[in-house]
Amino acid sequence: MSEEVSKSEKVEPGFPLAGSMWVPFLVAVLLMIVEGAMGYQSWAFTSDGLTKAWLLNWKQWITVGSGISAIIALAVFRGFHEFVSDWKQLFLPTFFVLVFITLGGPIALLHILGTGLVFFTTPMGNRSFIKEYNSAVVISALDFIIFGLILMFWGADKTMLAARYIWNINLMFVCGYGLQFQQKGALKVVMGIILGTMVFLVVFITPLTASYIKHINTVGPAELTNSIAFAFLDTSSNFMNYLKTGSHGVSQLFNMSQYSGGGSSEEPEDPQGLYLKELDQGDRPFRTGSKVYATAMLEAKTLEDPIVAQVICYTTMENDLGDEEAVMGKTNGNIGATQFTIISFSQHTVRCSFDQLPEGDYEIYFNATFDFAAEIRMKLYLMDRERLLNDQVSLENKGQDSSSENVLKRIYDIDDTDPEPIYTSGPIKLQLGTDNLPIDIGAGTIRQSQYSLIVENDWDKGGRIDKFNNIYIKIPDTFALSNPADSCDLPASITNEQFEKGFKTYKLDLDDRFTNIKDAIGVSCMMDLTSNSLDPTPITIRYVKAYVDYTYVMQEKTEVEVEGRGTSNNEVIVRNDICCKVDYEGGETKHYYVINNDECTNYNSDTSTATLVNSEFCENES
Amino acid sequence: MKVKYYLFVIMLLALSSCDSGSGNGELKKDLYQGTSGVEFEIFDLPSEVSEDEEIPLIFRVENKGPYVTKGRIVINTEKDYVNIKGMNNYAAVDFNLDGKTVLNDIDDFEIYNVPLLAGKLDPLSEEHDTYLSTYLCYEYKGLAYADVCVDTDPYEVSNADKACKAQSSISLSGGQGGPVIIESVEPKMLINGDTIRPQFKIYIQNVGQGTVIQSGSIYQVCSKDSLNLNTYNTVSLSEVEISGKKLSGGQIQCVPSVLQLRNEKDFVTCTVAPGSAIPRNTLSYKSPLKIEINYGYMQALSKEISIRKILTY
Repeated sequence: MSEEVSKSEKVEPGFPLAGSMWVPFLVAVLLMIVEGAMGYQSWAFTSDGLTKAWLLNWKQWITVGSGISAIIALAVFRGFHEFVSDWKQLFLPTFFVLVFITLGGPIALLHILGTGLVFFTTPMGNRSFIKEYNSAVVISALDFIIFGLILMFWGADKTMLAARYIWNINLMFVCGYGLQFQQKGALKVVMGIILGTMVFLVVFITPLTASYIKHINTVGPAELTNSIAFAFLDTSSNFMNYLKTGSHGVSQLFNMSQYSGGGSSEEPEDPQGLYLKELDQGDRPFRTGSKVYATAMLEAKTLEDPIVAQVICYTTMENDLGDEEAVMGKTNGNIGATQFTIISFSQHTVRCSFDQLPEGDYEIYFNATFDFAAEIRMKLYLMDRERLLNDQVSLENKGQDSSSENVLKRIYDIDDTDPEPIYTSGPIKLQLGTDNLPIDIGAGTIRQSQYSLIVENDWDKGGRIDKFNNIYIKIPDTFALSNPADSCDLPASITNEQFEKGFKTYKLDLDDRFTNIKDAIGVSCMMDLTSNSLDPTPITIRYVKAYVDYTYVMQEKTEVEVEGRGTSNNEVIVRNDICCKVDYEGGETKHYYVINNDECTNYNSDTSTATLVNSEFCENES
Repeated sequence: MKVKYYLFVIMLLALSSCDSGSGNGELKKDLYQGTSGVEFEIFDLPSEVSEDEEIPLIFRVENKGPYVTKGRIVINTEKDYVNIKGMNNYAAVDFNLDGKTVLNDIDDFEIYNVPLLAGKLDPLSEEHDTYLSTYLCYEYKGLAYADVCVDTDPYEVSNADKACKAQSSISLSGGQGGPVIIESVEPKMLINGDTIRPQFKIYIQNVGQGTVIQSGSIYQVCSKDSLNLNTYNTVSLSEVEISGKKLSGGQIQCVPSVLQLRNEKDFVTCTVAPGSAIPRNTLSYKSPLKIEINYGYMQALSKEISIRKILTY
């Protein structure tokens, strides 16, 4: 014993603690921070991660309080003198307590008790780090591996089981410490292998977790090994990809492939929205000096409310400096935008006119700006977790595929096992994703589930999303965003707007990313589900929804040709429909077409004052 | 007078020819055949309805087998789109049905009418496909009789003529009037000194489309409750009887006492207890072997209904 003590003294780290035991811990923490900062959906930052597990409810307050009490009790038990002189002793229990409280709930108290045993059973006086940490290895193995196995046969939550095997920071710590201080070569090798593997897994924790989530509902107890194998394969493939491309490979806001999701339009052939049709520039050729016009037919398809659209038209031409400049046309005789209120399938003619254009080819653009909304809904199947596991075992016993999809199909006659989210038709496409179905909820536990929304431009008739005015997340009233302020990529707050019976509505606080959308943008949130959401039936069906209110700009163009009247090009006076009124001294007033305001101000002099006026004055004068 | 006498005889012959020729036992045997238990049918559910429209859900539950049964039907709709009129989105209906008998071979049935009400669609939504899920859970039995030969001289040591000879397997594959059938019996005579202990390997199989559940768990299965590992695929052997020796009386021992179906099949081995063994000096004889099983059964049925918005244009 004394030899062991002397050995331990020889290898005992100085202050601060140093050695390989820090490596996995630091790597894990560092990667979590980096991943979090880069917006990855790392396990540690989502459902069961450290950031979400603390002090969320009174149970965890009790657990944390008990943990702190345990540390104080240890200090008192050991004696204040030892506590002060060798406070490093408390590092391990502190670490364990912190890990255990992340498990949440009173059950974690058992783990804390288990760790406490290590300290209380170590002989006083002959205390050594080796003894205590060897004991910790054993306790950790028993606690996390054997207990995990037992739970597996009880049909426990597989997320927790996976965490035991893959994301076992506790075991990593112990292996790291063992690697540093363990005296026996064979054990050192074993711990080194375990540690190396775990560090490798942690480095690519995102794809690993994704892989696990992907298989979470398809693995039965006997297939858990396969699940881990999948995780390794995915991780390896991501690692190779990283070496080749330098890209993490999962850098998008979220990866829909991990989840059940997507989206299809209700009316793909004839979507709701605004249509600019039958663009026409007339049959006859336009001549310089005469009016140039084009028409378009504005038509809407809506269900209830009419669409209010602001329409403008313009063309472009080179100014004196050779720059492309927009020349506004009149829409239905109005300068600037004309407002149209269009009910479904009624048609409005929009006439765009230019008083005159120089000789040349022009593209006349019609822009219609309108506010519109889209909704998406996704069906969720919910069921009791134990029941799902037993259903899977039942299918295994029947010699059938025991995937959760097959549970829905074979046992509950549900053919639509992977329901596609449906969005209302319109200029934008919505996609919604959640965890794989059915979502299993354990009794007395909070199940966290992903809610991911993607919005993208989908109007193949031209146009763009101008801005999002509001995005509302609707979840069943028995669900909740665990902490609306940070459960989503954007802050969310519960609202009475867009109220719908049976739903909780959250409004997202949109930032700059939601203006000037070119292609797509996504937002993801975490929902908390409890068994209160279950109907008293084997399968419960609920919907999650999103309501997106946006401004859209639709654009169509037509081409016109303006021919000359036989004069040479340099004689053509470039004019547009801006009219400049010049009041001369003596009361004389003249009107001139001008390119822009600057040209008009050129008429200002000591004897004249120039102002822009309605082009009708120029028309009348000409 | 003679003419009247002959007419009477002819009528008597004619009446007697109306008999199928089978006896009462045959009739009873017919009752215990087939593989249908309780069946559930939804009548003419419309495939498409409008918002706020009432949807008539009329369904029949019918006992096609010979066993008295009780059970529960659970109806579950998509809460956000269809509800049971005046209620929530789920309802449970309990039923008790008689089995067929020799005197009444009409299937006992009940018809229920549960009106549903389609809800409103989302303002921008034109249509929505919604699912109606129904779950049927019921208690059921299986009763089979097999004529087996209690062969006291299985190796034919004696020269004496035998009334019967043990068969290697007796097929009962036609079913006993329920989805779980006693498929076959393999008798074997175990010689134990001066006695023999008949042993029967009884094969059981689920041939229905549903899931076998433990007897007594129907209300649990037709709810959201957690289930235990034995809830599914479990069949209990309630009685085995031959020549007055009974499982319930302890004269017959069966291993395992509860069957756990794998690939929808399992077997149980029942042996006459040593204390009830049959002396070998008894002549071989034929005897009916009665086998009775208890189980529960669960079936699910889903229907799709499309709700359409009433468009104003």
